[in-house]
Order: sequence, then structure tokens, then C-alpha cells
Amino acid sequence: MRNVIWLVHTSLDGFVTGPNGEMDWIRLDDELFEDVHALVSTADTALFGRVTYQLMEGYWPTAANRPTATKHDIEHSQWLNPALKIVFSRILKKAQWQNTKIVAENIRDEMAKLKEQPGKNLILFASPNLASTFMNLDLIDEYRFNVNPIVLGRGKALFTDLRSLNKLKLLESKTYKTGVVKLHYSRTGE
Amino acid sequence: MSEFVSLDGVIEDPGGSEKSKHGGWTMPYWSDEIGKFKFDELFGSDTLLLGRVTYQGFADAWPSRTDEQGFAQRMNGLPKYVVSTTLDEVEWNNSRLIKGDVAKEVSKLKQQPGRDILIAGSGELVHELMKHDLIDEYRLLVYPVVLGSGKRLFAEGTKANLKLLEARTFASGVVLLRYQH
Repeated sequence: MRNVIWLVHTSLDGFVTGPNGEMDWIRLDDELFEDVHALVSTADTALFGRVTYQLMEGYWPTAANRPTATKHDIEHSQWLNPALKIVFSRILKKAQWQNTKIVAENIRDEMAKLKEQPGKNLILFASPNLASTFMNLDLIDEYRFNVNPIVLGRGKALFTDLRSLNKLKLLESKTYKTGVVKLHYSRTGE
Repeated sequence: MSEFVSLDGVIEDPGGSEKSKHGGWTMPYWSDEIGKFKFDELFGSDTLLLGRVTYQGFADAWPSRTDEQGFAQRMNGLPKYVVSTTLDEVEWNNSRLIKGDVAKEVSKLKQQPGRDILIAGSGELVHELMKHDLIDEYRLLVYPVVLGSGKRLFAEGTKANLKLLEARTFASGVVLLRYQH
């Protein structure tokens, strides 16, 4: 069975970006990158909301070719660029990035079809609005929160308009040297 | 500051005494480990600092409780400072009111010699104290549940850079995140 895994960096007060889209507070280190690589290697599909997709589309297609490219840039590009990418958006009409598909409606049916197809896991990157929609449709199998040691006060909320209470099951927590804590949950089945 | 918090940052009515929509959301995850943590925390503190809502919940519950470990006895015995603009008197044993400038009064308390001053629950008070950088340590027991609504731990507009001291996993799926400010 393919799992849908939501991977997201968050502040302690539950924001994924600052009020002006700031992401410079997100603490990354080699160990965290290694864990991300290990995770994406279980997957062959990336899922995005429009805003996250557009950010990624502006970076990853050429990230490995930049003179400043890091090991992570190169490795993640090698996974993400050829991977199937699905953007859930009613606004976006065209996607330039290779192997990208736009889904405008019927999220539930599209996801059901995807999950029935043979393949590896599907990773939902950041995309908080879409993630809440997914939660309301009970489409998320695993949650990977990287909790940063900062209170931002304002920004783009991790969760929005959830219709019901969601009980999760803790699979693992892990501390990085940066003070980030990884919290890894699955659905409980309740 | 020590809080029960959901994954989406809600602290409202963890024990269910306020009869709110999701009240009692911590109950299924209670364990001896968590009890031990709360016990050590209480016995490492010599003062409780509470907002009005939390105070009233505690003052209703604790005076009639007893337990072998002496947790209730200590809750009842410790000096308690209650921050409220509406209360005129506090009846729970060893309680006194803070009515004026909260930041100033709490700063004074911190100057006095002694052990930790423990804030539990008390969302609005936490907001006020965070605004004035008066909280030295954040202890969050993060429960594996996303509530979707309820009063939140962190107020809009207040920032803090923290240092992680410890992350500890309890068997029931609760994670303690401990930070220094």
C-alpha cells in the first residue's frame, strides 16, 4: 500500500512561513537532509499546493547546476526533477516543470486512483492549505513535522479549517543538533 | 511554564473540567510516566502562578483531593499567586491576588530567592508574560491529537527565540519539549 506522507517544517507556534513568506528561520543540517533523503527514497511522487509548487518550480529545476549548489541540492534535484509531481490547484493552468500534472478538482477521486496504482509513497511537501484539505478528507497516512525552536507570532498557519478532531499515533521523535525536533506520526485508524 | 498542548497548539480544557467542546483530550494518554514528570515538576517548584480561569478550576478540584504521593497536599499547600482583574478574593489555601501591573509584580516575584515559579494552564497570563519576556522555561507536553479549535498557547504577534533543552517521548505517544528562553 502506498502511503501519503506530509513533510513540513514548522515553528513551535504552528507556522510554516512568516507573515511575508519568510523561511529563513527554518534550521537545516546534514543530518536532517539525510533523513529527508531517506524519506524521499521511499517515494516516487511529490504532491503540492499551488504556492509551494511555485516556490519549488522556481528553484529545483536548476538547483543542481548553480555554482553554489550543495550536496543536498544535487541529491534532492536528482529525486525531485524526474519524480511525478502533482499540483492541486484550480488557478494554475500550466506547469513548466517536467513530469508535472495539475489536478483542479475531485481531490478525493484523484488520490484514490493514485493510491490504487502500483508505486512507492507519495510525499506532500509543506502546502498547509492542501494538507488541511487532505486531513478533512482523511487522505494523510503519515505526518513528519520538523518543529523549530522558535515562536514566530504570525505567518502562514500549519493547520486551517479542520472539520474534526484528528487522533494520531506517535511513531518516533528525534532531536537534531540545531534544536529541531522531528515528530513522526501515523493515522490511528480510529 | 508547563502546558498540555495539542499538535495544533491548543491548551483549552485538557482535563475536561471546563466542559468545552474537546474538553478532556489529554485523558486517554495519561500514564505513570507523565504523572512522575508532573510530580517532579511540582516538587521542584515552590510557588504557583495562575490565571483566573485555571485558578478557579484548580480551586474547585484540589482542596477535596488526596493521594498517597502527596501531590494534592503540595498543590494545596504551596503559595499561589492568582492574576485577575475580576476576582476580589481568593479562598484556596495560601493564595493571594495580583491585581495591578502583572509584569512588574511577576518581575518582583522572580527577584525573590527560592525555587521555580510554576505556571500551568493560564493561557492569557502566559500571553502577557511572554510579551514581557518573563518566562524562562517552556515545558510543553505535546499530545498526539489535532483538535482543530480551542484557545491557543501562543498569542498572535508574540515572538520568541528558544533553545531546545530536551525532547522526551512518553510511551503513550506524548512528547515533552523543553525549551529555555
